[in-house]
Amino acid sequence: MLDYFVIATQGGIILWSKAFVTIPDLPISKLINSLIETTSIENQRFSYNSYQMNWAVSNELGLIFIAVYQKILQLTYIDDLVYSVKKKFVGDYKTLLVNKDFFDKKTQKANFDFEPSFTKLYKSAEQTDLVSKTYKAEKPRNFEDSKKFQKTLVGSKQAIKDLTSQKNDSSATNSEFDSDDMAILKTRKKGIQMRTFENKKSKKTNSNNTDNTEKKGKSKRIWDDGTVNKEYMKDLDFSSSKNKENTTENEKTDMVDVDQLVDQHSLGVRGSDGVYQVASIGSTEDGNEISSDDNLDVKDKSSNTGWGATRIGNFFKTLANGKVLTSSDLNEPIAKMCEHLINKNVAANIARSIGESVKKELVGVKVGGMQKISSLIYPAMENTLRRILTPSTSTDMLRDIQQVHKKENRPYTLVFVGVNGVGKSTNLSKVCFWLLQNNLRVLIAACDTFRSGAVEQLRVHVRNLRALSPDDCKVDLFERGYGKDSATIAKEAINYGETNGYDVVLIDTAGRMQDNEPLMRALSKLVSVNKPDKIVFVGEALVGNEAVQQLTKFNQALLNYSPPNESRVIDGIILSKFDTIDDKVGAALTMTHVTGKPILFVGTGQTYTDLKGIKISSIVQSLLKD
Amino acid sequence: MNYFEIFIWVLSFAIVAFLLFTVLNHRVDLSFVFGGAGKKKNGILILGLPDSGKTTIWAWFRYTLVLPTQTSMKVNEEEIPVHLMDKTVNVFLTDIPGNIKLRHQFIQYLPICKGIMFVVDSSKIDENYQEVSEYLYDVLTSTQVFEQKIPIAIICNKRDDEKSIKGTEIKLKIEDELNHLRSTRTLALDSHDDNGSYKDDIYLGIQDEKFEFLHIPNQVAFIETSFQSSLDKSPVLIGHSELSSWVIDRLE
Repeated sequence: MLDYFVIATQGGIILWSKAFVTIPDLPISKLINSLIETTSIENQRFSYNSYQMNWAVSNELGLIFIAVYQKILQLTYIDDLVYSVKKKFVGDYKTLLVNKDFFDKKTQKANFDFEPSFTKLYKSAEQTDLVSKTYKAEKPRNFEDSKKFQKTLVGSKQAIKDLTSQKNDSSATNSEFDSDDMAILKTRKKGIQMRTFENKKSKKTNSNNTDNTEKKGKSKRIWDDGTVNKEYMKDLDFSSSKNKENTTENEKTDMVDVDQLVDQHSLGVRGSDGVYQVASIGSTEDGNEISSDDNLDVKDKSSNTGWGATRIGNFFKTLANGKVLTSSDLNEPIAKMCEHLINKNVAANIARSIGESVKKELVGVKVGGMQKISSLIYPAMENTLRRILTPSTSTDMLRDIQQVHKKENRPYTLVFVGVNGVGKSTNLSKVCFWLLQNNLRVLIAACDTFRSGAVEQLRVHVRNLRALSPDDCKVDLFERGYGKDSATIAKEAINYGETNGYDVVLIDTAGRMQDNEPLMRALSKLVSVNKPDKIVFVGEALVGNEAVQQLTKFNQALLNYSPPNESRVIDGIILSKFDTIDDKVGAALTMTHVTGKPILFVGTGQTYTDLKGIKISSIVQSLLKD
Repeated sequence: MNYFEIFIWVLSFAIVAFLLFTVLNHRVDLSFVFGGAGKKKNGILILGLPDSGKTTIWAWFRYTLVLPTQTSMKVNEEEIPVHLMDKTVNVFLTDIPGNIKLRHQFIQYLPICKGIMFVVDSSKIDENYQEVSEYLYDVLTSTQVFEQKIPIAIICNKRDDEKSIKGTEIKLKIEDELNHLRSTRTLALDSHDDNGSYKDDIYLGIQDEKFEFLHIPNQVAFIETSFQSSLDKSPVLIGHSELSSWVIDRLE
């Protein structure tokens, strides 16, 4: 059933493992890589190829427990198994684990003899699963137990019977409520009689049935039909006047309670008219109510006197001396951190998911002596942000261009996509300028065949760039006017570039809103026809929550409308208008988090030289500073 | 009464001093004043791509055993005594996970670093020499490694594998790739927050000459190793004594 179980340190040293069948360790490394790369894994399950993996971590001791099994088996008990193994292992070898005394040099073996315990746990987990399964399979729920039964004739009759007998009991002690109860009962009985009128034949069996149920003994039944009967109301009534029967005695005990709680001198003043004056609570003459008011008063007082003490207590609490952090300790500071991120223009749900992942990282960590919780959160946050922003692939575009040129002898193609007015053409011209400075031959394909002036704009850029660049480099515009299909223009441009020895083809596309389906379809056609080396998304640094939508919709459109097996997503991001946002650099984080793709460049101004690389440390710093 | 007053004064002073210390300790890190002053510089870093054998080497130093490992999620760090012949040296050995998102952590350890072991999987170098070189380039051009000329040992691990190639071949391959990288990286755009400083523009080696490890100020050693243990074969250990002597040389 289970294929593999491993207990390892988070540093990667395997402490104990058991392989039931031989499997390559590929799925494990995939799981760990995904744990590192994604910030939020909701359920503790991960599947890769035909394997499913459940895992648990112990942050306190830096351990990870992984169970691997075949996906098709649908083992339901693995969750419990992983949890119980974790509990048992940590419990049994706590001192060894804390001292990191994992291995014995003499015997060349691990200090853990976990095999028997594991086998036991595994057996018992399997057994309980089997038992519950057979139980479930063989014994379906009795019809009488189901809710549906209450709605049937037999069921409601039985219920009435129950209610009546209950009423009889209560009427002996409590005559006050009888009339109400009776009224409810009467209407109900009537309704049932009306229903039974039609089929009297079944009456006999009914009476038999009710007899049977009486033998079973009555159980308290809670009605879920919206009406509240008096019995139920009694249950809900938590006030001190609950037991009305022996009132005098009750009042006495109440008084004793009050004497214990407060001395009479500190109570409020009772006026001559019997009005009890205390705080803002105007109470009536009724003795019972006053006593409940007194209780309130006491509560108020205790919280008042405790105020000063709790202040100091809070100070020491935040120091959190030598304790293990729980999720509730972290809730408040993490929420503050999320708010801070949102203020930095990070999309709200992204900030929240980052907060969650930081929390997951810290739960179970032991706080050192006299350490503030916030002093733990800060570095954890810094690490998480850095991890998100660090690109997972190389961003060395020049090396890629060299590679493509050397190996395949064709131009390197870049497509610029984005919504309207974010600066696609402007950033394209800046990238072009940088490429020209590096002595590359560039062809610009004007595939914005929609907006008037788009082609002319690029023509101006080309003229300027030609004047600015060294003599031996080459920049040209490939254009076919307006109203044509952009995919074919791009195709022609790439072919032209290949035959005329250009190194790079930059394809400018029309801006489109992410919800405009026909235009998104056209874009994905352009991509699937031309297979560019990089699809670059140009996004504004000013954008907030909207960034998430733009990127996911663009990615989704590229996936949806492209032919199967050729699906592409955005490969990189250019963040434009970066000079306008001061330290609110949240968009950078949002965009990398959504796509997992690197920010290739940032646009920082209007001139050709205002294109820069991104410095992750400075982005992290501006995100964290106040 | 007088004694009592003095007692009260001393007590209140002690409380104030204590509170000041605790508060300050959070705001300003006082560890360099108390205790941490004479911190020894005895760090050795183990870097390299995922699955090249970093944790195995770390565990070998720590436990003198060849242990089974899996992909690391966290840094392994500990002060470990290294014995060779009659010498014993304490080394703060750190193994940084090779995952691209966690690599950058090595920068935090550079201030106490005396040497870097850069682990390469000799059996896979044909496929991943580009990635290896990029990581090595980043290490070599990080400010502290460059300025303090931190020595580097390129450890050609997994030499027991049939597909593995010799250290000298690996050296040529990496030098060739670093030569390309040097040209493209220096031509890359400045980053947005540089304020005109040229600190990042470190040029490796000599201008207009093909890159060689001899040209850089750091000492670069190549050590061939193998740490292999399997159930059916006896453990194959190659080069572990050379590794230990390299480590000890760095710290003396």
